[in-house]
Amino acid sequence: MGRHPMQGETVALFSQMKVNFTEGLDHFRQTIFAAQTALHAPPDEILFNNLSALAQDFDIARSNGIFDPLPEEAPRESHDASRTRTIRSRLACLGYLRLDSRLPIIDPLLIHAIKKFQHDAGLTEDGWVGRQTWQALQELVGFESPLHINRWFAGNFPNSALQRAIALRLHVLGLTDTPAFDDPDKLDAGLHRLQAVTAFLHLSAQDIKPEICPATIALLFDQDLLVQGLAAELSPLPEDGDHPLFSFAASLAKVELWLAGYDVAPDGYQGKEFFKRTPIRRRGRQRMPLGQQPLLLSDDAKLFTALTTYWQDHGKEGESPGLAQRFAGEFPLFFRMIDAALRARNSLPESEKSAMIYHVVAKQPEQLEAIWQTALSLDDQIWDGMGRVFGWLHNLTRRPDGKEIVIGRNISRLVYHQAMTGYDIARQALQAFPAQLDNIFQRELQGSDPHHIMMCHDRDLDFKVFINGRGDQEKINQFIDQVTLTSRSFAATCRIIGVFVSTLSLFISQGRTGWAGLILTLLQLSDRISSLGRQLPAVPNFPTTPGANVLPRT
Amino acid sequence: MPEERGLRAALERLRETTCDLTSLEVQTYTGNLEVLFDKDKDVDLTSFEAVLKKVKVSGTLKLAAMTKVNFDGDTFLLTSENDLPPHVQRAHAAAVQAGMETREALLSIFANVIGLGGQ
Repeated sequence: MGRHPMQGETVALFSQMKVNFTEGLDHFRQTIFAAQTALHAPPDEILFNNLSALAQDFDIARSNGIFDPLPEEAPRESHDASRTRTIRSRLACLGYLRLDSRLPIIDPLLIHAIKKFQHDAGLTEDGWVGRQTWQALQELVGFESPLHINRWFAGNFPNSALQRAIALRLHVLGLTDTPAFDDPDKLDAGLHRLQAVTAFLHLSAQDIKPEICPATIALLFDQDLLVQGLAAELSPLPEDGDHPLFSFAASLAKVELWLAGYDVAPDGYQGKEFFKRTPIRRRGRQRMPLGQQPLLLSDDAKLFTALTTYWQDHGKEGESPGLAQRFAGEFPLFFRMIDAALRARNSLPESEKSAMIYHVVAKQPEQLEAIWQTALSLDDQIWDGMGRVFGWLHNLTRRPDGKEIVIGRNISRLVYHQAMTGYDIARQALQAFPAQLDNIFQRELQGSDPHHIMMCHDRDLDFKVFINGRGDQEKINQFIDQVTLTSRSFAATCRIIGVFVSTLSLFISQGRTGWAGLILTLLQLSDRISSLGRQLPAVPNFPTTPGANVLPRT
Repeated sequence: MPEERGLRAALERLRETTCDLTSLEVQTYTGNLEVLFDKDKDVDLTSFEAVLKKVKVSGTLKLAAMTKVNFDGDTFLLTSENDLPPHVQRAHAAAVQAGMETREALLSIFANVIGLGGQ
């Protein structure tokens, strides 16, 4: 089948060629035809072979389970166990599955649950999680994806999917003991606790009412704002140890630690995390009133272990168990650390993200396979908290002690996420290319209508435009917008494919072949091509094509 | 595979079509087609050239703007009047932009995918 751009004689020939665009297109054309003569193949044949090779590389990467992006249509099976388990887990969280079996398979129960969710969320009920449904799950269950409130309202009321997400969120934030999917009284009690917490933290300019309304929903789903509230100066704290602030703070800490990659689940408040220590009664002293007894975090709670590790990671080795145990009194300090990391994340330019990861990974490329296996075992954590992990890495790279960054769970998450972003965009571009090329070379541009406007071009891509003086200006403007969009999209596609192939070729020429080369390429490219990716058209699914193997193997 | 057939077909079209990308010319015409629609039922309204030919005959066609861009850096713009209607200006500019972007896109993909570099 196709040949890779840097293989054999092609490598040798093209590596010797120098093209300088400032010398003009005649020079460019001559250079191409010189290559044609030398290779006994026209340049478009070379182009075709290389694009075919790339398309097959992508197929192989996908069928080997290296990448499995979201399909546009329902596939017969998914190779991506991580994503399937995540979908299953999220549907179980929202109560669409009674149990989370963690099975990485698409079975009738899962399809039924997906359809029910799609029905409740007002999505196409096709039983498969494509881009829309995935995004919907991200918004409702994830902590970092912003919620677009308006799309979740049916008239004046939130649709059923959002109602479930609200019940889930109240539970995860420690305001109900279980998700109140079918229990209005429990939901009401949770909303009252939320009101008490927000009033204490002054989280909203207006008082939050204990009801489901846009203001309550916006607050409930704004994870960063909740962190800010707990990071503020809060003295004195409530004397009543049963105040919902404490269960709220403990639950939010679980969420933040989970997002940051620590081994604790965001499973709300279990009711046994805290205990009250009764001080030793000394002679002549009065017993401390129950309400003033210190509230301590139990050392057999997972939150305790995660917090201890967190403080150790942040330079408080000796104090870490004490800080963890006194969490009920010290939580503002913890949330101030988290808030600072969020601010660091926000100040981090997009262009630096991939570069940061690439520099860490490029030093230890032999670790790539281990990174990949770690990432694929993490399931939900792959798909949430990336912003926070970038903040974490950013802070680490700026540490003055020059401590070596260990490649572990968080680096694996970043590598997977960033490479997947690049892969998805490059794949879309490759899919869109034939149809776009076909469209570009139609003499009459699509949508031309002599009643309003016509546009055509000749063999040399010189354009003629005809505007009917009696045409509808709105329709003329719509046509112009479409032409602009089409050409911009084609330019983005060509640039993505071009940059992708040339960078991949460079890695291959350096001996970094196989999927490791592919991942390094994607890491380096993901930021460069992500802005272009937004200009790509929606494309149909990229089918699996087993057989020919052109992906350079390690 | 289906997309390979699509790719081959598209590239064959590219082979047949591409000639001179060293300059770009855009001509924008305005005119009134109402008479044509009423009187001539035989003209193929989906064909730009056929429509343009008929309009020329009817004498209502007017070259409103023409742009020529040479890739050595020279650009020429001719307009028939000082104040072209905004939608005509916009249509002309969009065609120029589309022509430039398409050329650059084709050059970019040839340069990178064939292996000539040049980024």
